[in-house]
Parts: sequence; C-alpha cells; structure tokens
Amino acid sequence: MKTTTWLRQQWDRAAAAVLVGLGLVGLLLGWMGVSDTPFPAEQVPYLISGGLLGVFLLGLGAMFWLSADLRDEWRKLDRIEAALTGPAGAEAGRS
Amino acid sequence: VNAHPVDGAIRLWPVGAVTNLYAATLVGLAAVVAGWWGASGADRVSGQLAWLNAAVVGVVVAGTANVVWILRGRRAVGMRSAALLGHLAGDTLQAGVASAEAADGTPDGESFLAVAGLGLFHREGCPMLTGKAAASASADEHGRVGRSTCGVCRP
Repeated sequence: MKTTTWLRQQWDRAAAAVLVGLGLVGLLLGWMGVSDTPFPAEQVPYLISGGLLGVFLLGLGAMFWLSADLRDEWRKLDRIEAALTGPAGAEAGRS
Repeated sequence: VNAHPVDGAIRLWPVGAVTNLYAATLVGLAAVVAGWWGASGADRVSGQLAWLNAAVVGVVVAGTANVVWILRGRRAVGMRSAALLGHLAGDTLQAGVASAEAADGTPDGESFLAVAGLGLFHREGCPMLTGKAAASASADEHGRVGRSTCGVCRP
C-alpha cells in the first residue's frame, strides 16, 4: 500500500503517532531546559512548555489512537449488520 | 465522523460530542500556552505559580474531555454490539423453533384426527385413517379423553 493511501485511510493513527512523537520531544526539551539552569524561576517556563505541553500532546495522541480503534470496531459492526439486515440496515445504523 | 445521522440509530459520536472535544482541547491548549507565556514574563516563582496552575488546569480540562470522548465511543460500540447480538439471538431463536418444527412437524396448536370410539389419534394423512370419518382436536384434548398417539404417523 502506498504511503499516501495509508495516510488517507489511517489519518487518525498517523496523527496519533505525530502527536506522541511531538509530546516526547517536548518532554525531552523541557527536561534539557530545566536541567540547564539552577534557578526555579527559569525552570518553571520549561516545566510548562516542555513538561505540561508534552503531557498534553501525549494525551491527545492516545485519544486519536483509541478513537481509531473504536472506528475500526464500528466498521466491523457495519459489516456484521449488513450481513444480518442487508446494506440498507447497515447504512441506517452507521454514523 | 457522523456521516449518516439517522433518527433512532446508535451513533459512534454525536455532533455535540465532537464540538465539546474540540472546544475543551482548544481551551486546554490555550491555557497551557497562556501559562507558559505568563510564567515566562514573571521573574519570581511566586508570580509564576498562578500561571503554572492555569496550565495544569488546561491539561486537566483537555484530558477530561478526551477521556469522556473515548468513554462515549466505547459506550456507543457496546450499545450497538448489544443491539446486534439481540438481533442475532432473535434470529437464532426463530431458526431453532423452525428447525424443531421441521424435525417433528408439530407446530404448537396443531390439530390431530381421531375416530370416535377409538383410542388413538393421528396426523392428517395417516394411512390408519383411510376410509374412516375422523374428528379434529388438539393433542391435549385427545389426551384428556384417554387417546394415545398412533404408532404409525407418530403425532
């Protein structure tokens, strides 16, 4: 499968991977910034921009990934419903 | 996400949930950025704590919205699975009844035939009834007057 096709079909997992990567980079940069200075007043901005933003992005990435799993389950249920009631029934239950 | 809104249908995420997620995520992100911006402009820790708190609140708000989003999705999947399983169970039950009826050919309420004064009751078409005038009644009624099942047609 071509990368562009995969990205189009799995945009939510691709977004999740990017967000998790950015979150990890944020945590790393935050740690580096905090460890570079002994003054708490200079560490707090790194704590926020690196630590908290990193956690924020990690959480967002996890949400995207779990949403993708739920959409996969929903599509499976679409197929089961189509097999049980025909395509019209599955179309009515889909969202 | 909700491409086919249909009244009464179970939906993975309603439009309102999408709006709530976007709003809470943007608010959380804004709080984190504002907290960073405010803390960067303060030269004392005491002046930074309020901004730090704002950033933490932002993360909590966005995190809560994300958790609610996932829980709603899981609930919708569960409800739809249960509905489909109920549908399957109904079909299986009907198929089981039809199969049982096909196996013994005696749907509930079926009538059987008996000749007055004789002690057996029969299915329609039983060779033991050939040339005889028979009256129809249910198996229970035949049983009440002491008739037993024919050994040929086995009603």
